[in-house]
Amino acid sequence: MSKRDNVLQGTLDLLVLRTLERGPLHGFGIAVHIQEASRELLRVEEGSLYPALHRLEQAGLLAGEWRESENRRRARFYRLTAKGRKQLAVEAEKWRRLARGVAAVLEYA
Amino acid sequence: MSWLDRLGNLFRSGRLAREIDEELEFHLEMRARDLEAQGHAPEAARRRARRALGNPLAWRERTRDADTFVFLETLFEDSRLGFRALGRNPGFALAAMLTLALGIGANTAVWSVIDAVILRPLPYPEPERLYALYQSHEAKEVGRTRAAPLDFLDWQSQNRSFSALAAHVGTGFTLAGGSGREPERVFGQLVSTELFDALGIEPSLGRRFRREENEAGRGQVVLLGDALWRRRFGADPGIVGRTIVANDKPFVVLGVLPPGFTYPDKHYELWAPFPFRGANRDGLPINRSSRYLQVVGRLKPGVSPEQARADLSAVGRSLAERFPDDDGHSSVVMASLTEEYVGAARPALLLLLGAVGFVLLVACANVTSLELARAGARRSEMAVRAALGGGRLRLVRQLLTETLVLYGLGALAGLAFGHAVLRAVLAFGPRDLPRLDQATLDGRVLACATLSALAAALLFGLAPAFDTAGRAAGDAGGLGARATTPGRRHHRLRAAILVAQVSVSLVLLTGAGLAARSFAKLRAVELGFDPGSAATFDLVMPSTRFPDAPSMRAFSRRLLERFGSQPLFTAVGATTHLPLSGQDLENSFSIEGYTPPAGAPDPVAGLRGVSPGYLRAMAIPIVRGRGLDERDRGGSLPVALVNQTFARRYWPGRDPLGRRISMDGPEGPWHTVVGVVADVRHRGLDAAVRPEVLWPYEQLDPGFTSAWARGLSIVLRSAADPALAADLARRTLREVDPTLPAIGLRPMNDLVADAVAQPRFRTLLLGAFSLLALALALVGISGATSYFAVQRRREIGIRMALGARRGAVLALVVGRGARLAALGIALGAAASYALTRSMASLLFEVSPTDPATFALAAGLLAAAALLAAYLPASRAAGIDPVEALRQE
Repeated sequence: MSKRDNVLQGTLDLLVLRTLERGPLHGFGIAVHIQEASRELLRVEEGSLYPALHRLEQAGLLAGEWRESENRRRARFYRLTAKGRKQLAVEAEKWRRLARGVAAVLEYA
Repeated sequence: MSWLDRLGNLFRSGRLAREIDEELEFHLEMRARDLEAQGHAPEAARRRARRALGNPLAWRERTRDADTFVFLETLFEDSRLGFRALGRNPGFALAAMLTLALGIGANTAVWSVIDAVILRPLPYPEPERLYALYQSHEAKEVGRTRAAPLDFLDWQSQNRSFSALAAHVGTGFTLAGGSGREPERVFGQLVSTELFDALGIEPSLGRRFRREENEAGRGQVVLLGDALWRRRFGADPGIVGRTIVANDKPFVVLGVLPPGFTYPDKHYELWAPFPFRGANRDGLPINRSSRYLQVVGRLKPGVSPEQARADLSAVGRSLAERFPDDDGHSSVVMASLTEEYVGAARPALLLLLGAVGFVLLVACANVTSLELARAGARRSEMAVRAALGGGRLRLVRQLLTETLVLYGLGALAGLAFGHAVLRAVLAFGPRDLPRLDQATLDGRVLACATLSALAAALLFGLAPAFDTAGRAAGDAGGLGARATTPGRRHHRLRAAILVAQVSVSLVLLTGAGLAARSFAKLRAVELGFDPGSAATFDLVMPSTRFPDAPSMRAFSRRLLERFGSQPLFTAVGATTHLPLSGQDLENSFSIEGYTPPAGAPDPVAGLRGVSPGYLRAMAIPIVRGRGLDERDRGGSLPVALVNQTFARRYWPGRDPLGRRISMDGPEGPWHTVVGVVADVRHRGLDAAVRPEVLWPYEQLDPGFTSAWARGLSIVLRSAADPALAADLARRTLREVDPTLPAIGLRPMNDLVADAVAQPRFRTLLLGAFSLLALALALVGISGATSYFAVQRRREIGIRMALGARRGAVLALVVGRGARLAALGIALGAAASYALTRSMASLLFEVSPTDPATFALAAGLLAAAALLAAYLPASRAAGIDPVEALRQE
């Protein structure tokens, strides 16, 4: 696995939440979307994705249900709960602040 | 997902694993298809997809863990912390556990008793449809009576509400001895044949009675109780159809009733048809005026109790019109059979239930105040947890879990204690409390104990948990700083708990005091006879060998003479109805020269036939005139004795001697009153004495004698060792007649003890519970005072350094406890005043608001509270001020 695959745990949660803001999706779809949206810069470690999804469901940020997928197979879809939406806003703001801070340090002459 | 779902996941791990597998399988397939689209061979695509996911076992585990772990982790962690915290402070844990064990144990024992005696349904199918029927009379002093045989037959044929209506009356059966066995006396019931249809009980061997078997003179049949069948007949499966001899007569055994069957209670072991029709009825009167049959009926399906009551009143009205002499001014009423059995026991048991509830309250309050005190010692631990990110709710949850662990352990220990209490209750409890012997710590009681421990833990754990967690959050900011004194709210909470404990203890103490005073009055009641150094037994003269009154009189005279010739017995007597034995007979009387006011019934008095030696054997004082003696035989001048109440009521201010009474109306033989005897408590120590007449046994009406006076209670007075006297009594009876068993040979004092068994039982339990509550409250006061003293250590040190005397320090510390106790006593007295009224029906000659008892209970509690506060205070006053100041 290359270094670019290594997504920080908290970051994975944020990415999942952001992905689901667009609508319900199954685990594979989430992985694919993150990969595409980051223009292949980020690759989700698939072994961590499912534990993360179940953990977020536990925390009440996501809700999961079995539905028929686009290829007519049963798949578990996750959707953002109201609590998840709120958490996404908080986490995103935190991340932006952190990113700005890190950028500022890196660019400090 | 709710936490319930999460907990559910633990038990549904199979399904959960399948769901996770399916979810991941979908992922693998999608990934593989994606790779194929990029040009990989199907096999390789699948392999790559799996590699990307990593070790399948590992992620499956991790995925599942995410579902269950978070919740369980905290639960286990909290419990583990709970156990560890308790282990770190074993003194606290032990004290709290013991306290809870006492409270919960007392409760489980009382619940088991209440469950067995009151709550469990009667052991017949659909017991709520069973009713007891009575004749009710307009005359208040008569009230509710049993039914006369002919009236019962009319109730049976005229009612439209009962699917079966049955009558029965208790009697004794002497089972013949032989082949090395003593004759045995057992209790049985003469029953109408519908009894087992009404009860809905089928014999386990053989069959029920048939209707035609209620006819006297036919071949006699009998049903046996399971215990009798095992004891006397070796559980012989071939017993059905065999003939046994009872009361010197042959009975064919029809069957055996199922194990555990009792009716009307466990003393009865044999059931035979009542001879409503036919000749040879053993002298049982079949008329409308001898009301001796108990009646029980099963309501038809769909008939409401109200409809049945209306139906019975109609039956009563028609009988009153047709038979105005016997049934005028009377009706037919019914009462739930369950209520008839358990109703009398309810008030006392509910009182005990309230008492143990209060004990538990005091115990829980003690644990709460222990927890509050300990919270002070754990402040830094809590502050660290708060600083490390333990949220307030997380801390509350941890503390609550600790409390739950504590209550769980307390409940376990309490069950052991409750088991011991219950065994003591079963061993020493009153024999006449129905179904008491069936009380066990069963599943229902265990569930009840578990639930109440849980509820108490949550209820009583919340306050200290919030208090502690709240302060921890406040402390978290200044970890290094010296712990500040607890807040005002904390003190107020502790003070409120103390006041509540004291007041609840006072209520219990007052209740127990009233019960004790009532019991003392009951025991001090003038019995009218001397039960000391006297013994008694019963015997029954069977009609086969003693067909008429003369043969019975001759036998009784021979028997008493033989007993009298034994020098060991200083006095010997016999009576048809012994006081406090439960045997009683009332009859109406005519008094010469006295006409009852129009419409009023004839005077009614208790009636008993006695032998000449009876008064001396019982040591009943003669107030006026003479007792009975050898002159008063069958052929001589008819005489009678009356008791003081009789004399006072019917001849107030006049000399009763020489006046005449008759039991058979104006044409009957007139008996001259030759003496007045002291009032005897015949029907119980708390029952009012009614007019009574003592008749010479040999002068009783012959028909009456052979129908009603076949049983005699023999009274023997002896200064000898009771065992020796009992042995001689058995031997002497065997010499006179080897076929008659000495029934229920026992000291007279046992009769008195049995008569007060129920009040003694509730007084003892109430006393024990109130002392338990008092002890717990005193521990609470003592603990609170010493906690207060420790909190004020510095202040006390300064005061002493500045010259305060020991007395001033004592006053400071004791004063606070005393003020709280005084408040508790005031509230407790008010609560007692409101609550003790509920025990009025259980008190004998004591007012439920008896001022002396109230004052005594309050005084006792105040003195004990002062002592409990004084001990820690004197320790506080003994500290070295320099030490105290240096410590902080």
